[in-house]
Amino acid sequence: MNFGKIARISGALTRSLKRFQHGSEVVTASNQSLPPNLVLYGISKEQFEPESQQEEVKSPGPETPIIRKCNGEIPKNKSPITVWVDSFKNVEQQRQVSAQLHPLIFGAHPRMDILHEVMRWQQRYRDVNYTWSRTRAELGRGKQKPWPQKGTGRVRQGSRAGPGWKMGGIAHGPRGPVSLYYKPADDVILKGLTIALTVKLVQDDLIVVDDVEIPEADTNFFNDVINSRNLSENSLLFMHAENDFPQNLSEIVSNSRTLSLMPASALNVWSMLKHDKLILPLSMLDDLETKILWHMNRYPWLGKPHNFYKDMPGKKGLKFEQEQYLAEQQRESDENVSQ
Amino acid sequence: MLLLVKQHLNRSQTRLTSVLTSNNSGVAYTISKEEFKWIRRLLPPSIIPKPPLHSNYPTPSGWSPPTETSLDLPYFISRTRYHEFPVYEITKRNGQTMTHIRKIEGDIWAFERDLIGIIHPYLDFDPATRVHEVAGIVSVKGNFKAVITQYLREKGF
Repeated sequence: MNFGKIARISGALTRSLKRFQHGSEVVTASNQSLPPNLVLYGISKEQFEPESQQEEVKSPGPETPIIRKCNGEIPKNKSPITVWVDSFKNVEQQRQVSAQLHPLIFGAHPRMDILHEVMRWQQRYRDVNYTWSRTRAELGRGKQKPWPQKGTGRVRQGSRAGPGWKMGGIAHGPRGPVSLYYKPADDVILKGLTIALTVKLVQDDLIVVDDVEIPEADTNFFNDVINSRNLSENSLLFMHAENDFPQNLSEIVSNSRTLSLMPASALNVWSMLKHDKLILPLSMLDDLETKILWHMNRYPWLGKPHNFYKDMPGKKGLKFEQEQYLAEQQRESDENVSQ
Repeated sequence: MLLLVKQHLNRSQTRLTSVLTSNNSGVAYTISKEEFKWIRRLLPPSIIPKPPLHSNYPTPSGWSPPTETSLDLPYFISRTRYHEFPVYEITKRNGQTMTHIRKIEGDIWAFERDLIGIIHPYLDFDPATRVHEVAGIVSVKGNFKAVITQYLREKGF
């Protein structure tokens, strides 16, 4: 059986995948034509109806100014992904400046099985099995011998609570609350995060914003901002950098059921899939990329605790030593380059 | 100042000893972070370092860095985080060997065709290969790690 033929059936899909993987073009939902036999339900159908079809969204070209470049090293076969940078200070959607996103994080190979695994882990790792059955000693009865040892003709019995008896104790039953905690490999969880970010970007659900804070805590202004971007019927997940809490936005988000606000350290697959749109500020991208790339390129942990490394990103205690070590590394790499 | 302190010799035995402590008022002291350098040398790094630049490749161990020629092919095989080729050989308990090639991006079927072309001279029969499109892995029955690694090095991956 020639599996190659099956792989080549959907030519448009493989071609787009190739372009996506080779990083030459951002494949998003808006610049791809849907197959005519695709059946859609619910809100997706309204969005893709021909009457309400929006104008084709153009990706940022080579002329648009790039206000944020990738910090980490980019592999040779991939190029950074450019996205529009919006601004919540304007009611109208802004498509004037762009930012670069790292291809290993926002252009990861979309492994749906890993995404599903991580999402299910987030649902299940807190589960506790509370079933508990009583043993013969815990029934609260049965110390008395039911009939004498000999002479009755019946089987010798010591109590009416044994496992062989009706309504007796259970010998090897479930015993008390049992934690169903488990953790997949670190790499799996990391990949899940990158795949979720990729999926959000490719499906036009990622909005990069210069600053997630809004100028005033005015619900009307906020609703205008949301409506002009056609996000009124979408659940939105706003992220903010660690030390950059948006006060005005938090007041509006606390009054809403469909809006959420989280710091960068709380970014997780479940929340990203649960909300329709993900909004990231530029201030958060540096930290996010540094930390994810560090996890991808670090040694395995040397036992536990694993907090004595001299070059962990964001480590407070050894900051002085960290800076010195990183400065040394920079000097060595500069020497190498000059040679 | 003389203090009486309980000293624990082992789990069951303790004794009282006298300890001379300094009077904290009016004693000058300095804090020096210079001594910490002796500890910093021992702390392990977490980031895998980049290989240093050599004047000639391959290095005495046989390692060479990736080159630009790898971008001409329809597929790309990236290096592992340790800057090695993602080619692994396993030996089963019944003596069979298998070779896995991971981290394949792009047209994986084109890579499989090229792989069969490389391995054909070493076998009298068609090589048994498995292509795992989703994970980007190609497996071959037999131990061809050296041959495949040489091919990848030639192509500049």
